[in-house]
Amino acid sequence: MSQGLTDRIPRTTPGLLVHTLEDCTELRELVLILFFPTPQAISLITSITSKNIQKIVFEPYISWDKWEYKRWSPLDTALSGLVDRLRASEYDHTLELEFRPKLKVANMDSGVDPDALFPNFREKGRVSIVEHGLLPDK
Amino acid sequence: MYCLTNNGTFGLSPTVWGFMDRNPNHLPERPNPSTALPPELVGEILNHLHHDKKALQNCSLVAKSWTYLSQEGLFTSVDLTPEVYQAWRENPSPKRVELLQHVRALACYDLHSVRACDCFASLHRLQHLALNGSVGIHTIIRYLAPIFRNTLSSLSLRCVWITWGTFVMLVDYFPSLRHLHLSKSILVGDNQDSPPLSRPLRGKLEITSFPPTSMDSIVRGLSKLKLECSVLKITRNLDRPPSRVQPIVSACRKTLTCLTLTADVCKLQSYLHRTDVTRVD
Repeated sequence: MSQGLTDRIPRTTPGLLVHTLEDCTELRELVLILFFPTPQAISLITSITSKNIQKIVFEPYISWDKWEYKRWSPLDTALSGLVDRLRASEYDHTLELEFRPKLKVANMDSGVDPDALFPNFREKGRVSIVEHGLLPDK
Repeated sequence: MYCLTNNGTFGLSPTVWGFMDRNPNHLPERPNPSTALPPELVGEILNHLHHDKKALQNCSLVAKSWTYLSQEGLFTSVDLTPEVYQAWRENPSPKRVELLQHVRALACYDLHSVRACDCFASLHRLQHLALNGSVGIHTIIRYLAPIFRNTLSSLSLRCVWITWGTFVMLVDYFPSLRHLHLSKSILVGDNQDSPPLSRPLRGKLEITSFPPTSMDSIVRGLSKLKLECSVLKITRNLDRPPSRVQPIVSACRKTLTCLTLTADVCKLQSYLHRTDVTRVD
């Protein structure tokens, strides 16, 4: 079985550790350590079929000025679509999108609300930031 | 007397062990209101200090009645370096045997050879074992592993060189193993000829900081084992080309509840070179 699985990996997949989670039916939490939601990461999230999924965590290496809607809108769309698709098959959890930022920015603008970056998803799930947050040391 | 190692665990130098042997009754028993506290209350207080070794060290000097309770916390985690091991071997004592019964986590560093030692018999409550650097795996299996075979729940292999056959034997040896961490290690040969696991590997599997060539080999080998892990954490050096670990994820597909990945993201260096960005962790 394992060799068969190995053979199923598309050799042309550009630089993704994992390309699908469709078989992981018990998955509750997915943690991604990355800069931005790349197309591959979006594709990975889209492939989730687990009705137990409760949390998707991003640990982004990101600077504050990159918190702009156009960069995160594909993720917003993907998460929104994911919740819609799962709810169509008796999904009864509130999906949480959690950020655990790895970087902080010394001179940071204030007033950016990550919740506002996900206008579609926030209607169906929850967005939160934990630990260090994005606020600089005063 | 005590020293904290750079990884935050509590390391004891040979002189410390010697000091404790030579001065088993070095604490004067004198009238003091603090000694009047019931031992269960003292124990409750000291339980809150398990992560503060300096405070525990001070508490152990308050009174004899506090010493034993403090030692339980002080010796929960021990680093075994060649120097410490040498001291154990050369100066065995009942006191050391007594202290080692508190050890729950043991980290071995560059321990090329281990021989039977009376002290080791006290490690029968060990739960976490970390093998780092050039460690004589076979001798550790021979002399140490039987002592804590049924209690060990966590095994970490970091910067070790090991054959697949030995690796499988090591993992299979501990029936309660629920956390396996592989980091920067080299698994030699192919898993093709190694014996199969007698039971599936369950719990948490961490694979971190491998170069792509080693990672590919490990992915191939692990995916041939019986995996029923519920937690997977797979990260790599971000400045290296990625390896594909789909087979491991797929092998755990029915049991996996939490997956942590370093996705393929590029240009990390360009961000780290920004002057306005600093790491917080």
